[in-house]
Amino acid sequence: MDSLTVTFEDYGIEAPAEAGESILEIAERAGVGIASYCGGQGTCQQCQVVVTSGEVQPKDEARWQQEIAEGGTKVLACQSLVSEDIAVKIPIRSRAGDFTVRGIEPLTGKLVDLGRFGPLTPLTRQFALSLAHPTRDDTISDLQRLRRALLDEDAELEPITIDLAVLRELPQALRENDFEVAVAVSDNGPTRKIAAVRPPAAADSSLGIAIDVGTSTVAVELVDLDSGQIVGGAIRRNGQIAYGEDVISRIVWTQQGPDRLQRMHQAIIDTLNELLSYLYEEHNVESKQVIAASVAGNATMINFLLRIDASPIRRTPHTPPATEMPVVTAEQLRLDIHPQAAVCVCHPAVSGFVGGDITAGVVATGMHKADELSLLIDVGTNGEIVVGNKDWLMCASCSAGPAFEGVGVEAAMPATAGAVTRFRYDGDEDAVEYESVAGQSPRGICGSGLVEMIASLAEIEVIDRTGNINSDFPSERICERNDELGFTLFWPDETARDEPIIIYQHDIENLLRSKAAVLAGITVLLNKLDLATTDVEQMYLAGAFGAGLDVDKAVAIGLLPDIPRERLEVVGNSALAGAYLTLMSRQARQQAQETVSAMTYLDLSSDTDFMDEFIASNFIPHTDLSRFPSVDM
Amino acid sequence: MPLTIPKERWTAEVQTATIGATKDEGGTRTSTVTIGGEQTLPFLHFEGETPNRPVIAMEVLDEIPTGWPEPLAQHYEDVWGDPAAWARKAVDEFGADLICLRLLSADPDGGDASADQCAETIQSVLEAVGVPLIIWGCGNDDKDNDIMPFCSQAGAGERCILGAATEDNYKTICASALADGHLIINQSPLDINIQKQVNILVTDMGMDLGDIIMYQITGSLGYGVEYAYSILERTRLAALDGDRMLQMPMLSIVGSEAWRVKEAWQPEEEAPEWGPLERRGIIWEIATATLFLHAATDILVMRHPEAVAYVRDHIDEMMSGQPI
Amino acid sequence: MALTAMDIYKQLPKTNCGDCGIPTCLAFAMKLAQGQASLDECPHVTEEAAAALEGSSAPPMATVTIGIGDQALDIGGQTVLFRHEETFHNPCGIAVQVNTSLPEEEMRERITTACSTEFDRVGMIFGLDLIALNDDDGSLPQAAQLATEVSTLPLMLMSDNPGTMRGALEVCGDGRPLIYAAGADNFDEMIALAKEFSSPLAIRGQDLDELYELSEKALDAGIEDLVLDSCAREPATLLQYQTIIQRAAINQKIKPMGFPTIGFITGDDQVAKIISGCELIAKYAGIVVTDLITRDTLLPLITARLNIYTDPQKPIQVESGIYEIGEPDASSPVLITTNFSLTYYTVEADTSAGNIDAWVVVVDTEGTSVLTAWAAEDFTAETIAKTIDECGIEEKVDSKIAVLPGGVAVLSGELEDASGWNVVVGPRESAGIPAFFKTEYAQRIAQY
Repeated sequence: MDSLTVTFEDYGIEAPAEAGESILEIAERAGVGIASYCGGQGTCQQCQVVVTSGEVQPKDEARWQQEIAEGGTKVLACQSLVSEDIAVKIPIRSRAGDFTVRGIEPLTGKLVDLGRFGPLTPLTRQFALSLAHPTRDDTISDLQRLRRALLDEDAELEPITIDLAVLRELPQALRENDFEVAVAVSDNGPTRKIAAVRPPAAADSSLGIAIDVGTSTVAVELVDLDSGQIVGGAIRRNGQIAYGEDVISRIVWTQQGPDRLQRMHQAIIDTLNELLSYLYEEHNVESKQVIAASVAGNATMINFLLRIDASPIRRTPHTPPATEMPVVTAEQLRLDIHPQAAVCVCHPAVSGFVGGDITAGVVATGMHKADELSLLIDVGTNGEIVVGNKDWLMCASCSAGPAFEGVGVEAAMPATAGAVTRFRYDGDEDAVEYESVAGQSPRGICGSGLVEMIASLAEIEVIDRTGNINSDFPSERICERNDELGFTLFWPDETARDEPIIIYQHDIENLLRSKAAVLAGITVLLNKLDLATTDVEQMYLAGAFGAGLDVDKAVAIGLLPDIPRERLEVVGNSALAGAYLTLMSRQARQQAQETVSAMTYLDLSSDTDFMDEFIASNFIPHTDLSRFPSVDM
Repeated sequence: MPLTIPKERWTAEVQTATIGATKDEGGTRTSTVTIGGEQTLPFLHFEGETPNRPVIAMEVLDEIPTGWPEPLAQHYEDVWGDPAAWARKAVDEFGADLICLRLLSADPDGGDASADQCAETIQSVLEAVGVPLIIWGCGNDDKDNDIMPFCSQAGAGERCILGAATEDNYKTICASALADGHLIINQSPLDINIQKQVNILVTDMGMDLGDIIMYQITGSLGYGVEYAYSILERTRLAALDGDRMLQMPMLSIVGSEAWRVKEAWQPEEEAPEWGPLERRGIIWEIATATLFLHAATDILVMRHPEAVAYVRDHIDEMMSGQPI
Repeated sequence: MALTAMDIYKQLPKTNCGDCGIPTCLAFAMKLAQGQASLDECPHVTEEAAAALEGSSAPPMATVTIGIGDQALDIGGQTVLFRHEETFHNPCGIAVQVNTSLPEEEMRERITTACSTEFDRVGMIFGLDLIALNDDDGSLPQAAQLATEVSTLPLMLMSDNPGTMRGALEVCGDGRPLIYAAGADNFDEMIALAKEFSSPLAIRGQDLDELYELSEKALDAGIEDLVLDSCAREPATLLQYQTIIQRAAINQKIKPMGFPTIGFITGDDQVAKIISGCELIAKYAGIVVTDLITRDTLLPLITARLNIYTDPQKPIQVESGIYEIGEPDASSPVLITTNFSLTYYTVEADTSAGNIDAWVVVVDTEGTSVLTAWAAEDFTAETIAKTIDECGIEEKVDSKIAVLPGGVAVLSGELEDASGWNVVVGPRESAGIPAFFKTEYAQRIAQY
């Protein structure tokens, strides 16, 4: 077959292609995100791209349409098959997101404080051992010799066993290295296991990774297993977005062809490997140094990671195929770390819609050990909520939608370089006041910026309490596209993308719906236990919002309930923190298991109180203004 | 006494609203209507005051109705096409407390009457009767926004009720009501929270709580009456519990809802299981109105004179009850 | 006051063992609080805890059964004062009054008519529930004899005279008719009859205090199946009495008041009686007694009862089928959506707002929204195609083009295959409908 090249001009990517493939398929493989809701059937019209050089062939004459656009021909990416080298531009509207890997600051603070879990007991421990040579007086077996040395290091390793494969290699490994060896012991169940016996040099660095597989965003951290120190971290959009924005769409997509589960699985592995290779390069590390991985993620993401059919989650009553997952080796997943490294889902899911990412958050915040009534809200693609204390825990999921993660909001982006994190516009000034990641010109707006933007626009009444844009607002920033009102946040010359950044009516509606679902979820969950938000003594906000979120603004728009601010803590990625803790501590792993069995799940999807509260919350801040005494509007 | 009477300790009462303005008050009405002020659920005299009785507004259309069943049409055929005469008949003969004038002719897909024509109609009705007016647009948001300022102006100072503000379209009508001293109807689609949203939005614009009447899309017996019934009940409970944004009096449309269902007009030959047609529409309107009365509505908008008479008697009965 | 889930949880073992079939103790406590589980399902609960919890779990209002077999009528069992708080249980029984002085043929005719009065509403059959034989000439036993032969409905026997009551009860055997009624002057005799014949008994008090006293005495005598009549016949008094009884039962858990009530429709004429009937149905009557018999007067009463007793917790649905927005003709677009009422009315409002004349084909998804229904596989190419096929929309339009909600664009291909219609993917949000028709629709259908 001919090997062709498709150049994605906006990204500077030259992707290899074969004749007969669609632009959409090629883009997906190359990590270039093109929006597609219909899975490439040519019906949703989302994947419009502009072919700037070369010609494409129609896939289906009946659906074929093309028109002359600026700089080339506008076609549907899914309906355009390549037969020669072409170049393509992707209009902002058609982009599914930015798939670039970006570095993140290591997690710090209370959530990753290992002190509360006793001595470090990572998922895989590396020991540099110097064994006594066998003598006539000391004739114990190789294995006993190894065990004796290990238990000398740490008596707590008992009970300890060995894999047959490792045992087979053991005599030779000991003697080749003159009984000076690096021994990897994996610690992910009731017994410890000798996982590798290698030359002593291997002990020099033992690294692990903590992984948070989010529906929209995947985050990893590289960790020194000896010290617990975080070497570095990175995030990237989950490549599965090309197959659907939310878990249900992705499950449906996998049901539509025999090879699709595999492709879905591959997409997350590819995403992870890209993140890893970024970290390896950035921190000068080799893949084989990484000997353990702890993963947190929602039930669907974990099933896809392990290539398990997740379709039961879609159907009532939404039971996942499994909550606790077997430990696998990196080799089995083709994950680019040491092939024998254990990849462990340390945080089991509670239900189809409350996953291990949430139990990870519970362990990280420590709310399951606290006396006071705590509430954890994780706003990701879904909103998940846990309430409770050391005696009981209750959780629910509300379909908040991924608006605050930037999906479904044209102007939005993740909290990476160029993302607006702070936003203020008082209506009089010419320009908005803002802060952005790395101080760059705005490329888009991230979660915290979106919250402040809504609060700001509501304050000066560009939007009313229902979120409707006021067409009479005296400003040139009010604009219209296809009969839809918009508000220009940044003019083209202010941005990094030579286009204005505009928030449209439907974007605001999406954001309000997301915030309404979160607030309604909190209220209803508490109401079921005859509690009110004022009873909550400690509230953690995790997820899509950076630590820079202005909680006053979050309360002002009614994303968070109005409780004393000292009880409110923005904690960032608690799922990643939980994955880190379980990577580093046996006690954390045990607590993760216990937490899950103690957690009570409440299904809000069929709850009429939830629908009612949702409508009441779909307002700035809420129709019951008395519940927002601190909000002056 | 062995049984202690279980009284609720309500913390608030319903807003009082006065509709219509007499000469002394800057209008030309010969009577005004005051509603609201309830301190308890409907007619529970043992628990609190019901200072004002629920009232009945009768509907007047500004165009000749189509498809009205004979048992209803026979009472109006002599006056339809003449809103002033129609209103006069409703007040003089049928005893309407208020006139609910619906400007259906303004509908751009129908008569497409101009703002001036609508204003003229309003003036003629105001001249014809002394009771207060409810003035309701045609339901097309854009057109209503065009005509309402003129309609409002035509009744300036008369303290009419203008209908209806919705969540997505409230500014024009609210501004008109504010400018000309009218009350306003806030409408929502059977949702207590959306009702509240509209109430907050218009009060944000400066509307007085005492100048707001709430209206939830009604439904009729057999066709969703229970949703409206419960929404009315919930709203009133919230009001008595102190929710200021739900303390306004409530209006229910009964006539048009009851008379459009099959039970009200399908002849016995087509629906033998329902019995003779003659009284069915009247009964349907009465049953629907009764349920709303007991769910706490303050204004019933009705059509059939006999139904009005029966319901008025029932209101008399309920109001004359003594505390236990 | 009922115990909260948290109160109950505190009494449970908190081991989350799952032996009750529910994963956690808290979830079990919530089910207990809602009356959806019973404490004996937990094998580990301590006796002490059981004692603490059981007292509070008794229902505030007894459920009383009149009659036996398939036609038996359950009334009472209410748990709330307002239907939106949960639902009203056991729809009130409608009893048709038949005077015993009627000539035999007329009586037979009346009973037969009452038994066969049925209405088909929302696909279900609803009718009357009781024959109330009113002893106005002392011939109750004879009338009961006739009724047991003719009536398929349970009986209510109305007489103050214990002698004729006994005669009628003997005729009814173990049929559990409702005895109406025991008042202050015949109390002991009626209690004895209720005991002897194991029949439910109505208690009549001239005012609330007397009613309370008699009910308490009946309870002391060991009668548990009671129906209360406050003797209020005047609407304004009736409403207040009914409210007080219901509140005493449900809010205060006063046991003598914890029984269903019986109310008699009053009014000068048949139309006025409808008003009285609606008031009783809405305001807590367990049995409504009427002499109305014509279909045009019973239909609204039965409909009102159906409406008031509809479970408000169930999602509000519209019927599946074709709906018209504006004045659609053969060239108007066809929109597809689900039968969740909020979904449908949003589509309707947005389409009307755009001044678009359209057909809307509503698919039965058990009252769930587009995405929820799709997620749960209730809104699939097959279900949509089936609805398109069965609703007859094909005869109303010239070209077979359907607009599918953008949120389920993935179904488009399958739907084209399954239905034979061309599918155009509409906007994801209903709010986008006006813009979609203004800017895109014409161009998108040009190819067909």
